[in-house]
Amino acid sequence: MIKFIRLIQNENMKMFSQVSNWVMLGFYFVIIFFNVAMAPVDETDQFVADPFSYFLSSADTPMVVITTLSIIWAAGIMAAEFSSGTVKLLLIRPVTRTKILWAKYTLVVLYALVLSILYYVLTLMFGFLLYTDASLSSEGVMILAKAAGLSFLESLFMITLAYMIAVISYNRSLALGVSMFLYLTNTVIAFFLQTKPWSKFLFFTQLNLTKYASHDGAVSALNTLAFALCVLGVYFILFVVATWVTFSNRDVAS
Amino acid sequence: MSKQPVVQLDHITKVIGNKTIIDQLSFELFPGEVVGFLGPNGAGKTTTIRMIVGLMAPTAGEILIQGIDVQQDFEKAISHVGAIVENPELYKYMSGYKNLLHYARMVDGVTEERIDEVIELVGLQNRIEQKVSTYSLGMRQRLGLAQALLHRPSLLILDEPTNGLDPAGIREFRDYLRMVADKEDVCVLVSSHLLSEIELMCDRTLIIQSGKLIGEKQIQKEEVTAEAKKQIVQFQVNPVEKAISILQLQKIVLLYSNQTSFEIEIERDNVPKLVKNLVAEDVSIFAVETRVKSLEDEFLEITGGKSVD
Ligand SMILES: Nc1ncnc2c1ncn2[C@@H]1O[C@H](COP(=O)(O)OP(=O)(O)OP(=O)(O)O)[C@@H](O)[C@H]1O
Ligand SMILES: [Mg+2]
Repeated sequence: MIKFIRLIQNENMKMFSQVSNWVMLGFYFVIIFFNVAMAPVDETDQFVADPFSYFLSSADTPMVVITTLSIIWAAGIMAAEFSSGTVKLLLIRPVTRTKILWAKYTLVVLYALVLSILYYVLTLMFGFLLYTDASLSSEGVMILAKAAGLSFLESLFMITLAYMIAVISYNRSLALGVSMFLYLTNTVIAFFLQTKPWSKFLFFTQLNLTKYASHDGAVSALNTLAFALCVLGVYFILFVVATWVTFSNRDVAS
Repeated sequence: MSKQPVVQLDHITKVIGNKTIIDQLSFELFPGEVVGFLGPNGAGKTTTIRMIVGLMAPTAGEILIQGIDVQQDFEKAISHVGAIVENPELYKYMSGYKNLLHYARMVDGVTEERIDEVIELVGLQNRIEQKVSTYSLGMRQRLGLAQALLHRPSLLILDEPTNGLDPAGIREFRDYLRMVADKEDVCVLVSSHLLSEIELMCDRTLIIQSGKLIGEKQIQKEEVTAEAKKQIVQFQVNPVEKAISILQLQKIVLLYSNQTSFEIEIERDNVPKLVKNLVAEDVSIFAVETRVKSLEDEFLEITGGKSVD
């Protein structure tokens, strides 16, 4: 266990030694501030009553950014070791491949988690600064918490998908391309497939979880949050097993 | 040698696709030995090394490190090994120190003092805080060596370690290898296709071609060779024909001749006698050059100077 933590520490050191990571984090903060700057002063909609709650429930761009950054990391964190050849020195240590595989994955998940929590805290903080009559008991606070949580689950799933593709193909661009495409178009795909009953068992039609945050986003009696989580859960397990099996048995010839 | 072998390869075979890359390869390495692993391009040196360090699984056969099967108990077996596989590819965006820290965290018991000690050993103390991307190839080789030595391995595997080093660097590296082999009783396996290199730094050479071990040679120390071994000696003389007839009288084997010179194989002790005879017969001698039969000749002899297949 201590060894596993040291491996995560290593991955963390590598992540934060890369300039690209700081650029991406900078981008993340810019988006959060932009979101705040664009806050409507006096608006509501049918779901929430007060402007403060409306601000919180409509502040969803940063969540897309968090998932995108997580996908970028998930696609690159292992593939980069292969393309640079550093994997040869990484895998000849007294540490099993399984540990190395999941240490990298864990770091990306932690990254998404920390960014999600930070997003929640910062948005709430700015909300209180902007709306003087805001109260912690507003419904927006709960909605934001739910949205951030569900968005984190989306990130978790996308990380797992991107990581699997990257580990199986050693190809960062492929992993990034496929995952981003599905993440950005999943609602459109779901819309076009909605007449087909089997489509609800495909993971990409169930990817949009944040719609369940603000109101009952159920498409039908069958298509509920619980159902979506079940479908995604099954795929999640498949992805994890596929990633693990490929990585632990493969010859490293790069 | 009565010592327990550090590594044993037992009939290792590797098939990729339908191509047999390594074919029934067996050898043993012992503590304190510097062993050269020699072969032309594509012979299978890197592939063999990849299997020893567990990056690839052999199709058949067994690899034991300190008696432990690499495939069965990877963690335990590999803890005895330090290696550079092909180029020392390190994390360019981090400092040399952070790179070493990274590998130190992956094994138990590597202290900060040990990291500093290794840095000093490879002579990188002045540049260790700088990013690896600013390093020259030679400095990267040194850092590669440092990471391989961190955990005091009993087997050091180096795949073409002198690639990109300047002559001074190569010499230093050679001395250094000898030192770790002798002092820490480390067994070193050095792969190369630079024959002269291997000859200078190794005690023993394994020659591999097309995945098969085709020769094994104990490299003799110079003082031994100089006396006992037959040498190839080149004479520049005039007239050559007369000289050759004298050779024939003395039953000396002629290897080669042209208008101005000839080459023979002769024991060192017999050279003065031959020179005396030639002079007595009024043959003018312009030069006498000895050439110890080098590993290169032998290598070409054994491999038949074939090209990469
Ligand atoms: N992953 C692979 N797939 C198919 N063939 C491979 C693979 N890796 C190596 N080979 C083949 O195996 C043979 C041995 O390659 P290897 O890299 O071990 O040679 P080498 O002795 O290290 O050569 P060099 O001196 O050029 O480094 C070559 O013919 C190569 O084409
Ligand atoms: Mg090679």
